[in-house]
Amino acid sequence: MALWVDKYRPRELSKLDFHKDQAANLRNLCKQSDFPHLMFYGPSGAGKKTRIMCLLREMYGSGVERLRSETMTFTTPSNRKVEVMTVSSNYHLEVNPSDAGMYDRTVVIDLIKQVAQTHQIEISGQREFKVIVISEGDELTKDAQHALRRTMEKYVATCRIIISVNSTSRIIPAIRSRCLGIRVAAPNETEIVSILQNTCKREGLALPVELAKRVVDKSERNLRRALLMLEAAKVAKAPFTANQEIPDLDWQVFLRETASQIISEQTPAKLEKIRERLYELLTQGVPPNLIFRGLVEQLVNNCDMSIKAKTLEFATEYEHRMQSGAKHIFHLEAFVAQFMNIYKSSFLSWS
Amino acid sequence: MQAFLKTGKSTAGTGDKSQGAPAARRKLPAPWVEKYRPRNVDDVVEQSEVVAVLRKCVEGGDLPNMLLYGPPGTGKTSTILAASRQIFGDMFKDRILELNASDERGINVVRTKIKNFSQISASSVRPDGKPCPPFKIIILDEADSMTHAAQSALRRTMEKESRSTRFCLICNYVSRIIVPITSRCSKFRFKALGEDKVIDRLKYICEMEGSCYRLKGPEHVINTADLFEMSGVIPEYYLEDYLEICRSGNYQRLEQFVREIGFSAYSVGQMMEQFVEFIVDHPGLNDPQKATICDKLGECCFRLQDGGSEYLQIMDLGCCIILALK
Amino acid sequence: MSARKKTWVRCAFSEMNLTTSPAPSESTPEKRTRSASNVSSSRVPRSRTPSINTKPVQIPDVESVDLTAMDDDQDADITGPPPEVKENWMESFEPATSDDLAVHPKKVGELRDWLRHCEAVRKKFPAQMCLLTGPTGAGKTATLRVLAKEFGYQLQEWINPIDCEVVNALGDQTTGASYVGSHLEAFKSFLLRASRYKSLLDSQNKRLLLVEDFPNVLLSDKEVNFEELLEEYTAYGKSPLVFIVADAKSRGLNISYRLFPDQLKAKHRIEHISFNAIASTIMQKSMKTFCSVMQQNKATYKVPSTAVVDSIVVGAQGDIRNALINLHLSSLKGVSSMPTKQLNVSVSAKGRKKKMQSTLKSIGRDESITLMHALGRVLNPKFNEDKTMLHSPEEITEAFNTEPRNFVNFVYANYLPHFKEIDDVVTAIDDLGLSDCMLNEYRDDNLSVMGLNVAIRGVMMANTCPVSGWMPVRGPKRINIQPQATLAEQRLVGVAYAGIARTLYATEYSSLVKLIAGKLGDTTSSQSTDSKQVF
Repeated sequence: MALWVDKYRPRELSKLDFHKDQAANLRNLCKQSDFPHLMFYGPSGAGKKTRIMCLLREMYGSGVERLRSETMTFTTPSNRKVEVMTVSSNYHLEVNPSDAGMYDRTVVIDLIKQVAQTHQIEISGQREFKVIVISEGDELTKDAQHALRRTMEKYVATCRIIISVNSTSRIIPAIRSRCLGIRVAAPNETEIVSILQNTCKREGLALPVELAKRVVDKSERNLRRALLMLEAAKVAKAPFTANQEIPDLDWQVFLRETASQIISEQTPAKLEKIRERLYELLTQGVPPNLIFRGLVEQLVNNCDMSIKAKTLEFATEYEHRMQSGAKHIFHLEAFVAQFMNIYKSSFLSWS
Repeated sequence: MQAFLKTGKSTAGTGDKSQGAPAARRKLPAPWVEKYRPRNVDDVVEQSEVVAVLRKCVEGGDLPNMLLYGPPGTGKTSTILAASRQIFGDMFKDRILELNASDERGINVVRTKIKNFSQISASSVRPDGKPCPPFKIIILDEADSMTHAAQSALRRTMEKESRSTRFCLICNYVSRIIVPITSRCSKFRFKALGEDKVIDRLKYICEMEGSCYRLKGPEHVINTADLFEMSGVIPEYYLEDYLEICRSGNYQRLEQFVREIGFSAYSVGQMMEQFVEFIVDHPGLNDPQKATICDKLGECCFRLQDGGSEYLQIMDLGCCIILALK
Repeated sequence: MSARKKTWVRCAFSEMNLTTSPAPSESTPEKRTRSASNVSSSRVPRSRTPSINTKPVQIPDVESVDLTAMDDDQDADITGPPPEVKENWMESFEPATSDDLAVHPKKVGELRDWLRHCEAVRKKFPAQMCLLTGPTGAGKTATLRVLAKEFGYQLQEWINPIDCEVVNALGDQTTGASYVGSHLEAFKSFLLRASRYKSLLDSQNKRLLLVEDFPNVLLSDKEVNFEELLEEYTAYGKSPLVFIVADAKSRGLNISYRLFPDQLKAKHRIEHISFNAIASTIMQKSMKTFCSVMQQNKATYKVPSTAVVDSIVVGAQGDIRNALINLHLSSLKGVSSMPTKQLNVSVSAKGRKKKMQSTLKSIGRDESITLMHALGRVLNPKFNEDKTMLHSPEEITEAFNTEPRNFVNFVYANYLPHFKEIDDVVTAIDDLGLSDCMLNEYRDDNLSVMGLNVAIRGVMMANTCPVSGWMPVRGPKRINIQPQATLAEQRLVGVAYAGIARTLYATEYSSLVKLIAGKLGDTTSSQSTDSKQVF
């Protein structure tokens, strides 16, 4: 029993559904004995991970698909134990250092040192290096990125690093310049629709085009989200109809409600209630920058241009502060308060 | 993971060696970056003033305390490694302590590791009898990420051990180094490489690597869309569209466009960098407009570098442009 | 300064009533930290007429010396003021009966009940235990002494022997084990033997063991099992045992928290009586009695003004010992009157108007304000007539600069209800955000103090029209990201689950996978019911 997302994930570079030219380039890259560090960048759900796995398979054969998950423990200089989940095969290791929070530096360095100081035993026909896949690379702290940059050079003989990031903006130039960047754009609408329809065909279901289009719309061209939504929709109502309901992401619904509450009333008491809701979102693990973005998108809807500009100005300022602060909630609340103030005063002067 | 790690014997240190002599032992696969690191001060591309000074130093067999700074990829680390290799020859390994941000570099390291190393005496003759400068070099790479406490601890050590040890600090931002340290070092600024020098070097590398690349020629390599794609440069028409949309003053369209950029995975940071030139040279804008836009652009770029959200920054910029063009 | 003062007081105080029994092993000389050096009589009577000799005089007949409450002193049936006051002047102020105690009668009653209980079960279970806690100067020891006298117990106190430490410091005995052993041994044998064997000189046969000075090994070493010791004592001890522990601010230092966990107290039926700081009204009353004692000593004392007395009471913050010292100092002849400074003290309760009070500039106890007080000052800033702030933000900053983060979190958690206008909130939260950034900057230590100041000052100044009324104080929330996926969901996602970042899972997978997994569970169960129907 697997999710459709995994079940129908292409396993080989030649079988990828879109960006076929790029896939061909990647295959060429694998044919050579040498191989630089890579950085895959693109929005969420564009298929970065799929491409990385295909690439690894191309290099090492099907052995990379024998995955096991393991929890590794690292000890920070301050003697704190950090646990990180990893997925690995004999040839590669995949890790999410961002799960270690502020201790990601230790994780990155220790991991690479451990891996790099071991050699592949069967060199025949295999690569002489292993691959470390770092996902969510843009969540790495600056500290960890700085640490990574020299380590990458130092252990280049025994290991290669593939970083997967949503955007290169947050990656320090030193790392960007050490990696070959591979841009993975999100698939366009027709591509997603055809993938959805193929999937349904293989599942033995008929998918009306209207529904497929609506799924694409709702998923914001995020293929993973589209597939998950479709599967959830199928679970809700088995033979698809064109106008059936597509499940929402609950945190987005929650965020929309929060935004409309902010619009409805601008008082400290309301702000207090909003704070509770923001806490709720944060405890569910929704990253604060997504909350920021979602709030801005919703809040500016009914405002005129000058308020929009002001809102964005404050949003950028507080979001930036949030990056250098530790308490995300402070800055989220500051933004909400600021917006309430702008909205209220403009409303007063208008009426 | 355990199995993964156990597949081979630990050969610690191969990484280190591959830096200095990548192809010396069994031909390890090394990227060209490592393979074509300059082995000699004179090989260093561009930085002619720095090279001139360093060459004098190498001839004289002495080095001052140095602070090398400049943007990434301009050859700071390569230069100092090459210089010390020339000075020490085979004893290169023993006479150099290289610490970078991946090593622990808090105040304790400064107190123990650096101090211990600097207290080892260095003789003025090589084992084979040739004369050799009687000092060691400590290279502190990425010194701008050292804490201030560690830097302060360093300054005393630098003075005390000046007879037997030279320090070489490498950083991107000289402003992050505390003043007492900068005043104890001779500063070398590395400037960004000029285009022709890069081409020369690439040509040389291509020749070394064999004929297959020679057919196309480096100029060709540099200017194709392929390479643009690889280095993440954004096509010009995106910038034009962006400005056009802002001119129309339609927020919905702006948002749509920004989403589109997100989907196409182009880096907003890159876009902003290109946008600066685009705006400055743009004929259709008057100077006050350019000033307003560039002011905002600078702010947004800074926040973006500092980890701000791409979407918000570019939307903010867009709103600012809309208002400026009204 | 304060530390020195303290030991001096301690000595002065303990000189009188405490019978010290040093660690019983003859080889260990005692360390005189808290009590005077005379190991003397059974009960040192408290005499209002201090003798010229510093050594307490033994007066066997207790009743005759026992004085009634101080208030009666005004009646002129006193033997006359003593010509001179000795170093141990404090004895003239010692409480003699339970009525003299400045401690709340209820607490005294609790302790008395326990002692009665000891009496009742003395034959069967002699080894009763009791733990007294409370802030310093709350009168814990004094209460115990007075009551012990009342019940006719002889107090025997454990004093940390000094020799072991000396040996260790000189390095003669390198092994830590023997050091620990000897120290602990001594403590053990004190507990077990002091309760059994009585002094030959002693007429009393009831003893009460007092441990106020805990051997360091008990505190520093986890291996040493305090519980075992107590168990042994319950089995073999012959006298009631009292532990006195002063409250410490931090939990790590708090002996009562570390040595006496709840289950231990429950197991050995240790009676726990916690004293409160002495209320200012009671303190005022006892100050009056002190003053009246002083009046009989006109040669040495002048009677302090009420203003001075008031400010001493305020400054002492419930520490009666401290108040007494200050009073003594301020009323000695030849001392010019103390300079006072303005200080607002929130002594009032239930909405009564706070009144301004002055405190002595030089000898007030270190003004330690609690977190709650400081929060109140920040959230409800008070202004003088000339619009200056009553409490300067710097003062508050200074009090909390060791834990700025904690204080800012508290301010954040509580500031909102105090605001009426959203534009004031904007100013306040803006500063809080700024201070968060500053606190997070680790490269410069001073920045954290500045950050705290920004937060405090910002919130104090921002509120232009505060909401009045009582608001409960809330603790800061911590964000604990909830466990992500149930087992069923994890199985659905498969081995790749480990590779998915937590945030990614929360935003992309969680809600949809929940739907799928949930429905799957439903369908499998419904299928099974279907199949049942078929059969």
